Amino acid sequence: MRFVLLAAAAVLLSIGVLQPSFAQRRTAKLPPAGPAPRGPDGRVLLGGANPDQKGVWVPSKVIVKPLIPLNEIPFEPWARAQYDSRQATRMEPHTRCKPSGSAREFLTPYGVEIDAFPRLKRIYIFDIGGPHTFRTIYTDGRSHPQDFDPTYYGHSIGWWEGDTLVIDTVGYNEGFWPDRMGLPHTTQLHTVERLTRLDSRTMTYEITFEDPGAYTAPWTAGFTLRWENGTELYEYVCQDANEAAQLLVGENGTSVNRTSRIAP
Amino acid sequence: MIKNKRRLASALSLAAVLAVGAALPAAAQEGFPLKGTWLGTWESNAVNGDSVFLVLDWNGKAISGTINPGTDNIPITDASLTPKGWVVHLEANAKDKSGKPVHYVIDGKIEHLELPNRTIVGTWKSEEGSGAFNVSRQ
Repeated sequence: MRFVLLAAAAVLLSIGVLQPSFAQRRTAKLPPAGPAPRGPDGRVLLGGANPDQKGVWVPSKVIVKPLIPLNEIPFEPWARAQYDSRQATRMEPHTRCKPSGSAREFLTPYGVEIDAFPRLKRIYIFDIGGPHTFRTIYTDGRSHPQDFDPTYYGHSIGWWEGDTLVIDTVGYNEGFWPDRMGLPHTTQLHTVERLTRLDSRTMTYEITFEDPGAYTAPWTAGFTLRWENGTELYEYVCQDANEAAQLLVGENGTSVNRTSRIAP
Repeated sequence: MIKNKRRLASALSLAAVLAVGAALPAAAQEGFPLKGTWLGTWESNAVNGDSVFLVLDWNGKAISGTINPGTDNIPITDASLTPKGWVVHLEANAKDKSGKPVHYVIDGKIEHLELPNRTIVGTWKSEEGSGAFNVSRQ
């Protein structure tokens, strides 16, 4: 028995000595980023450098503020008033497990995986946090359809401008917030996103919003995404056990109208 | 017999307007606050009945819509939304059974703006009467 205890202690001690402490891991410098990986055609890869390299893109820092200063966003008066009212209520559809289009998709928890299928001439963006959805970007040269039923992710067509993937999207429905803070929009929303991978670990994301129903002029915002190496897509089903008790019975036992017709 | 026929006609009318509403996009909860279909009551309305159904739209510049599409088809002639207090003003021109013009004025406020099934609560008035107005977004 004494021998077992001594052996266990020795193992634990060796683990403690050989493994860097948490503080040491946090402050350990990452090796310098390598160049952005490229495929056989020279095109920048937005996923792993090879099929064995897994990873997702996450915001380089948590963004819980407006994408740009509020006084720079050309709101229509009703849109600014609605934005302000949302700061008090914070009833974002994302929390009710609705898909999040435009910039919000890249700000959902746990990251997004971008997969290009050259033979299909499509790019798919899978997001982990949320209702287990994906977005399709057509890179086959097609135009937007004239009649398109509005959807959460809209209809996206993409093309390359050098090392930048440009994504043009129309056909959004009004069932989501384009950011985490409550930006309004209408079905007239048209976005142009530009994804540029700078190196092995960094990608810039820029989005231009054009929505004459909610804004008096187009405006542009952006942020940086970080490659989280090794993370693979995993099952995360937002609807599972998504019960907000305060929405069911209200505060202090008062009853409220249900906000979603989706059964928990 | 007459009462049953009236009930049947009322039910069929309501079914017709609901069918019209069901054909409209359903996910407009987070856009312009008035956009969508609204169902409720305008009480004590002897001309058009107590049930009311509104379909409202926003094209980026103006609010448009119809009251009781499919049955009464009352076009909305004037509409405004004042963000401060979310005050709603609607006007519409109808005709009574004899063909005499009836001009409706509806004033109210949006309540529970944060919810998809928000409500407009207020009053309606016309040359023929007035009463409480209460509709919920569907």
